[in-house]
Amino acid sequence: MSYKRGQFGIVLLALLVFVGCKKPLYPVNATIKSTNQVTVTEPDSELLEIIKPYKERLDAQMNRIIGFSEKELTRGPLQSTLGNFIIDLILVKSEEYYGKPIDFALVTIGGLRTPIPQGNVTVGNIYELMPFENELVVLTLKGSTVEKLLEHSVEHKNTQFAGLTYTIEGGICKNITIDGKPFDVNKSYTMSVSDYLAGGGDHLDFLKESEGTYQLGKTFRGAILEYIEEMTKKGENIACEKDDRVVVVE
Amino acid sequence: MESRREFIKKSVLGLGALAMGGTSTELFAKSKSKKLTILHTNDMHSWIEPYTKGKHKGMGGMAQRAALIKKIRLEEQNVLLLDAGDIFQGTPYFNFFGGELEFKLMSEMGYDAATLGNHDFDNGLDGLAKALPHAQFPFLTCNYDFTKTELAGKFLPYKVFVKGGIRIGVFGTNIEMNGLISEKNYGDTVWLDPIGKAQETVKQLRGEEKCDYVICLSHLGLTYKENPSKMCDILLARNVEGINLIIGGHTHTFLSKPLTETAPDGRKVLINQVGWAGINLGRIDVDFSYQHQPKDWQSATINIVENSWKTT
Repeated sequence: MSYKRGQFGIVLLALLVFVGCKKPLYPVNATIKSTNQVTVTEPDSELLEIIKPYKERLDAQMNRIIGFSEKELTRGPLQSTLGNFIIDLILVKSEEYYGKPIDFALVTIGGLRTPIPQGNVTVGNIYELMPFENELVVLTLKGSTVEKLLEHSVEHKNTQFAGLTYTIEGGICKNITIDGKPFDVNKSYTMSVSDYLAGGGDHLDFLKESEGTYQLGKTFRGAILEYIEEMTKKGENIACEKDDRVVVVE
Repeated sequence: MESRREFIKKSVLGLGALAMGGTSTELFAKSKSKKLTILHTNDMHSWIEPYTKGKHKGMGGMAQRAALIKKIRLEEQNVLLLDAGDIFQGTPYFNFFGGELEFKLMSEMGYDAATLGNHDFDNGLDGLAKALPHAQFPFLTCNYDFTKTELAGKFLPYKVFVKGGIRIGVFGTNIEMNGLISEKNYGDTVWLDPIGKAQETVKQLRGEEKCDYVICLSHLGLTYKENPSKMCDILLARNVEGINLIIGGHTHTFLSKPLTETAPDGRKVLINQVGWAGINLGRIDVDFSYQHQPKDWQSATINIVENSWKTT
């Protein structure tokens, strides 16, 4: 309703602009004038013809159903149905691309743009979830860098991990395990992550301290699409619950 | 549908004729002044179609922009259509077709020139090389050196357009790649100091090329609050003599009117930028004296709204 009212305003404005056009637009010695205008227009039919075959191919791709989700997966702080589903599959696919085990994987919730809807899941849904062309990399991190990452997690609560579990008690991070073993600050760990976060994006500047970077040559989105299609081939639906990877003790 | 379009076409033609017969010719006859109409976009980010949701619902769209530009071309004699970069990346059209459609549509609209944004490197130098044959307009850059890359010789530092006898020099300046574009995507491209290269290029345009008006297409970004010494349009304007207008991009800034800065010689430089995603078309009309000196200007930021969205 309010949208229609807004549109009425636009039509009025357009009319004003139209009426305004009949006056001499640029008299000599015009004073400098800046206006904001709204133009309401039909699309140009010649350009629509050029767009048409591309749009048809694109729509066919984007509307292709690749899986079925038992319920809506949404994002949230520390861990979430969407975050756990995505980062668990990223760890699995990264290990497959890497050809050897990786200790853990990380994504931030800012990088997961929309929920996975309940019911049919299309290629388009995954493009909305992950519109960026971020690529997967494997970082080798010192124990001290992992500590900084966990401090960041406790403070901002915007990380989602696979292969790394911890308890937050009184604002302190404890009982940390990586790949099922207690965390050792003197050890180095491998972590799968997007090249965006690896480059210090989303205020994770300390990730730039990594001891090594290995490019997997695959996109984050590509890994999600592949994994869901593989699930569907196996007759599995998309499903994920929260678990005890992060425990908060009040 | 068709008859409606015809009606609009006729009204536009009629309006154009009215303007020609009434005011403009009279004005030309009396003062011999001339007008240049500069239309511009920046950061269109592969928004081929209008937005279908969110606060920009119904806005933008390349076919919609084309209709507006056609209308203006009927009304105005001397039109320049320019883009300040980041044509690529933002919708699946780019992921699937690599920018080919964006370039085709811009060519169809009659873009005269564009410059390169950082996202135009998103498919690497080969991705850009592959899309480039679909662009029937030049890309201008004076401070990216592609000599050691496969794109050597594909770009111009500047181009001179002659409109109604007025010589307009257009050149491009571009943002530092380091930290913004992944290295594998820009390869051996070298970034040169924009101020130094702009000074050199403007000297050429004002000298040998005898330009009356100089436009810089910039993808440097308007300004950076958190890092005021970072190269930007405002610093470019303050450090280079001889530019009349900077058409900017990168920072996705919605300016409702151009900013005015002062060049080292005390002359005014206009800077404009109209947001992103093709939501707006920028328009600057410049009146020239009979000696081809720019006199007055007027500007408009035109928000494009698809007709069918009025009723839905």
